[in-house]
Amino acid sequence: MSMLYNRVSYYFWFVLLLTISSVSAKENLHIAVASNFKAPLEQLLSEAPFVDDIEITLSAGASGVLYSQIIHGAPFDMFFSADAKRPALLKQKELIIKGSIHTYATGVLAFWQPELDSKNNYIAIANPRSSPYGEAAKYYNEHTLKTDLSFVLAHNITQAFQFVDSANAGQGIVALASLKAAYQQQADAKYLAYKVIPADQHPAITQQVVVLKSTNNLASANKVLSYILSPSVQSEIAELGYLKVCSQC
Amino acid sequence: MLETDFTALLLTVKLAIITSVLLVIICFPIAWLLANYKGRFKPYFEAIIALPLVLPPTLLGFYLLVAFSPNTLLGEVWHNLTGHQLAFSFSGIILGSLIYSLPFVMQPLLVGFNQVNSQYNNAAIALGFSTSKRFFFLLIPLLKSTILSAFSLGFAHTLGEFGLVLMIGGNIPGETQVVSIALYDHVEALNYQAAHELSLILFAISFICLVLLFKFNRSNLGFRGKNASN
Repeated sequence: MSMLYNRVSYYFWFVLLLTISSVSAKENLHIAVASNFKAPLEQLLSEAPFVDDIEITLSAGASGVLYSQIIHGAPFDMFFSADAKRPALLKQKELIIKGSIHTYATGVLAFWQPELDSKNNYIAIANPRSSPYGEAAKYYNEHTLKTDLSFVLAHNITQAFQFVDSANAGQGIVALASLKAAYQQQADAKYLAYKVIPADQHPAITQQVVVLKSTNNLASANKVLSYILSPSVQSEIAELGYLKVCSQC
Repeated sequence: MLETDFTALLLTVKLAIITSVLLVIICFPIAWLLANYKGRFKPYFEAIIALPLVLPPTLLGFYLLVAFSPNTLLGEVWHNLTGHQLAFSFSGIILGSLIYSLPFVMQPLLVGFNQVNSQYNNAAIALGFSTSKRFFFLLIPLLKSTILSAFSLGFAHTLGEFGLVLMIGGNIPGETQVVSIALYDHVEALNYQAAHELSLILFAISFICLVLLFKFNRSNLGFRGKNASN
């Protein structure tokens, strides 16, 4: 009986040690990401060359909420914001690694009206106070569109898409990326009934990433950073409905 | 305090009052029926009533948004009746709040009915009171404090409503922008000063509500205490 007990306990210690060693061999990286870029980031990271070496955890949320969490000490290594304002504020507070601010994508707006002669007079946009997509949409409306429809403010650009998708709003100024993702999933022709709003008709929707000073995994974070900014990944991001960030071309 | 915050506060109080008054009116007869019902479906009814307590508001909000769509039966019927649509409207968030706060009004009423039913009700039946007479002259006066706590619980719970309005509201000042949404907006826009001010006011109102609630509940308990000693 005691031999059996010994054997079981040896086995237990063996497994425990194995687990510990395998865990410590893998780097851990905790990334905060704006909700609208979570799905693309997940997909891009799953194809990354370091997928087996770095264990990545994504926390998605509204950029403003993630920002508040970061300044109060949330244990993130990197932050993919939906704008440029919050990374700049983090820099001001000296919470980021010097020189780690990079633009990883530029958002593209689309005017979407699934039913052409819709009698629904609501137009959905993201909240201009907090979302750069909303700010750009508001600017576009004030200078070009000048609609007299009633505005419905979504708490982010994905919800603006949802309001139109559920037909509660007849039209909306949404992210091209949302439309492309929806079409890829459902191939419904209504996701093609949009007009891309030219980039020169609104302030740029610059989405920036930073590496946080509190990170213990600077090497891994840098790997992710240079992977996301590499030309091939940038082309992939462009396919998903963003403008690619291109410093050389 | 910002003017928009004041509007939001007023709207929230209006929403909470309308919701809890409607809920008391709706729940009172249902709770009475359910307290008297002894059939085998009772647990099912009770479960349905308690569901909004368990389900996340985001789930309720998402399905309400889908149901409010002009392409669905509910959305179409409502549009034909009123000429308006439910999503992004004050009526829409009232409907949402009715579902969201239902258990908070129903539970105290159920407990109240179960308590008075047994003793006073039997005495009244023995005295030959009719059902309607018992309802109006026995139950309602006896349950006064229970109704008040049901009302204030519904009121307090609606004050703090967030996830559901976020899903179906569309953030329209004076229509669907309630306090919790305005607060979220301030935080998102990094206007922490305004967020602090609004939080403080909301904190004070909620605290007063809860103090009143427990005051009413105390007298309710007192009534039960005397009842038990008889």
